[in-house]
Amino acid sequence: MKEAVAEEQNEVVREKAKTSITVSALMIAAAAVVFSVTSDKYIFLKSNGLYMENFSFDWASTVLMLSGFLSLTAFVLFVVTMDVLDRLLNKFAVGRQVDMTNYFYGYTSNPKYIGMLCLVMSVCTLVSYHSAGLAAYGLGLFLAVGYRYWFPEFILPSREGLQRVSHILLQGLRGLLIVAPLIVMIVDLL
Amino acid sequence: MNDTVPNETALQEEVQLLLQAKPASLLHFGFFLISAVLVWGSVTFVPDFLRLEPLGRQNLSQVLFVHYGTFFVLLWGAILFFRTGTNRCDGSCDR
Repeated sequence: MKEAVAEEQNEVVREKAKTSITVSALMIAAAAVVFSVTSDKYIFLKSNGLYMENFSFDWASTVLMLSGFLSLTAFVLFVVTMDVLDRLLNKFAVGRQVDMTNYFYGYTSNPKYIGMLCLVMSVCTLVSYHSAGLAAYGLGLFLAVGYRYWFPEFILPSREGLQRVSHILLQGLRGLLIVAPLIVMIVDLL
Repeated sequence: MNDTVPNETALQEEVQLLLQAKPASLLHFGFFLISAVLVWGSVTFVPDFLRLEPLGRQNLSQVLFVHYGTFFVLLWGAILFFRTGTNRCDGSCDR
């Protein structure tokens, strides 16, 4: 019976891999677009003599280089992820199918995760080339909305009071993450 | 047939594990918030102290973006680091 359950789970993983391949393809395209835009803007900066070739800090060229580096990293990681997910659909030796599928699927977890981080950061860094405040707002929104997803909250009856207080504090903090960039943008405009 | 129905005990164990992880996650959040503030402070004041071109003189939005970016990367790094060691993923789950 255990083998039957494992086989069923194996099929679920393979089915999910098919969807993940599509998602990875979209991410590869997004990373390529960000890299293309970044390199275009960087070449424009250099060709127009706007690039500062000395030790002093130059915001525009730094964020463009960072964005290019991050988007290229995301591109490579998603290509690897897609290749591994594709391999997951292969037919393996009898008795090794479940192990191999689990191994390959588990392997995609980290590249996919780090790739996503790099892609989000590359997009935000590219936005910061135009408006740093807007980019900070994007990241703040991502943090505030994602927090409940990364750290699920369960209220324990025995510690309800304490948890309510921490909940209110965190709600305030999350709100601050979104509002702060907007305030700073207004301050910068004044 | 019992193997095919969701295991109630295992589900309760998972919830208990999440509940135990909650104070730790609060601690992480506080830790990374403090570290982000420290990074912000360093980025703003250290270059000035070393007489380099200070980031703080660019404008406040850029400083805030550097602060948020550092916070974001540290937080995701922490999630990756802590969950890799603690979760009991057998390959069928995802982050």
